[in-house]
Amino acid sequence: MNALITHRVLFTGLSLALIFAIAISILSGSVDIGLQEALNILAHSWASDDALMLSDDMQIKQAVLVQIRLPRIALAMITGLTLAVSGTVMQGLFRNPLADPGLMGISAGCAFGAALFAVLGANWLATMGGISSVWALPMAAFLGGLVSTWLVFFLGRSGQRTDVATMLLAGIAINVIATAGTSALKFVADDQALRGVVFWLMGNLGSTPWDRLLWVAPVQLASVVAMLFYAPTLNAFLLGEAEAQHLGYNVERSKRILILLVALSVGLSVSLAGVIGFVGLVVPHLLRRVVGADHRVLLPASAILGAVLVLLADWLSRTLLAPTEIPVGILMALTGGPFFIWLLLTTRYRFTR
Amino acid sequence: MSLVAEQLGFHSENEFRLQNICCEIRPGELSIIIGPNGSGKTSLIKLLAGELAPTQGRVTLDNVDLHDWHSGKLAQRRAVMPQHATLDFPFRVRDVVALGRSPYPRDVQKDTTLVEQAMRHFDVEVLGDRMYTTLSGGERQRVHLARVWVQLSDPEGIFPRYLLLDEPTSALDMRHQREFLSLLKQSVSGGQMGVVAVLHDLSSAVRYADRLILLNEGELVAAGTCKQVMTPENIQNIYQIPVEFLPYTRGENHVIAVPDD
Repeated sequence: MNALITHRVLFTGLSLALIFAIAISILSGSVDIGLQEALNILAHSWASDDALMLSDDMQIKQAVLVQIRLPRIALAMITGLTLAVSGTVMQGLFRNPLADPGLMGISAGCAFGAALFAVLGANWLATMGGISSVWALPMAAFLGGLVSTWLVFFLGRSGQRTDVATMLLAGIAINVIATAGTSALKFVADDQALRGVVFWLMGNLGSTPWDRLLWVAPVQLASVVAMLFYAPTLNAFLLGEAEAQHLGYNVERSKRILILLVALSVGLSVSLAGVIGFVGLVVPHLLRRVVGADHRVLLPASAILGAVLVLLADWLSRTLLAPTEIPVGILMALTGGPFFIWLLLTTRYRFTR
Repeated sequence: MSLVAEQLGFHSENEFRLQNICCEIRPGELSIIIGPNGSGKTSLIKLLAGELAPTQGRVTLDNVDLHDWHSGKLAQRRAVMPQHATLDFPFRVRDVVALGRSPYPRDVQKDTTLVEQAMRHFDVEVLGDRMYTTLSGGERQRVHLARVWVQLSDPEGIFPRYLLLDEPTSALDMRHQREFLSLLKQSVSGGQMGVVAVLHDLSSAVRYADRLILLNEGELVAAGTCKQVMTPENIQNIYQIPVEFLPYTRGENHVIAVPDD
């Protein structure tokens, strides 16, 4: 089939899926809100900020919709988009379809950074006064992610080239160490901090207020947009670093910037939504089978599919055992794990050359 | 105005891989590097490409050290085809070839024209919509040749340009080998392009080279015309097998044969 038609069909399909996922997320929950009601409330909230015109019943629904469901949907979308695009970038950068922020210890590093802050840093910061925790927790997650990414990257280099097998193994080691560090923190944490950490490690889209989201999400979005501009560079990277250099790209600088952007956006995503695995692995792989590896198509498509996937996972996690909520990280792992096995069985991978 | 290696040397882990190499890749010439396995041919190509940093001497293009060149500008002046070009991701052949347009500002019409042209030159236009990962070894090599060809084929910009090829014919059948080497010969004839290629087939080297560079154990043994370099003594000493030079039907070139023991 003509590539242009494939791309049109793909993006139309993805957009429809996104609209569908947003719609069912708005409409499902413990409080029953119909489509017409939802649209009325949204139109009303947009038009004026006083809620006096609404009936009591409608006021409750408005509160549910605007204060609970919408931030949750926004967070699910931004999380999915960030993780999927970061995964695609990592796979391109490392020329390996198994690279993923979750598998390679980046998310674990972010989690460790954030847990370190939540358990030990919060008290220290309270005595210092100063920085607000709205910023400090995301910063801690970002730094944790950055350190683990650099470690994986440098351990994976042998001589002048990046050795993929060593790098994946290094990622696994970093993952184990960071996870052990987080466990140690859980061990020493007091009950309240422990509950927070555990809850958040399982992935949680439901407890982020608008104010934090509005601070962090634009930075995430900006770094994702910046990554989209690197599509041609990533295409050249697929030929190998030396070839990308011969084609005129500044390889070392692009690599540093991309790693920084991945660490930043994944760090921020972990700080808001906890650890949600497999999105970064599954999305680019699925899309590559349909449209090939051209990052100019793959990156924007990953962004939309990532958002759809996390929205649907969150919707399932809320409705499957309602009123009990399954942590979305657990749900994602339960569906992502089998998919991963399917990938292993159906695709031939080369770790060495 | 040429690509020059000055007193070039490279060593890694206290082991010399190349030393004291002086050579010049001139526009209008097809230079062919020959030498036994491990003689430093690939290292020399990588040094000339700027992929390895020399530990002695330097490589200059238009009298400017390669490391002082802006990588984007350099990419418009020289293209490099490595010995093992790898790509494990599903990429359409047309898009792989189009990667050769990376150093230039986007211009859809021009890009398409040049890409189509290169695909015709290397007999891969029928593969245009196939995924690279489904191709055979020889087809892949031709796709990469088309890619580096595109990189230097922009009619606007600064000339001369240089093409560096490490064993470009290793996976090609006889017909494609001959077509490719003739194309190289033809493309340098205008004086706007200089080509340096590593070849193992000495008969092809003699037949197509304007200049031969013979390496052995990291040192330059001889450089010059075929007549100067390709002597029975040189070849027997370095390859350590007896050879016979048979006259080629046209001109004074030779077919190099290895007699029975």
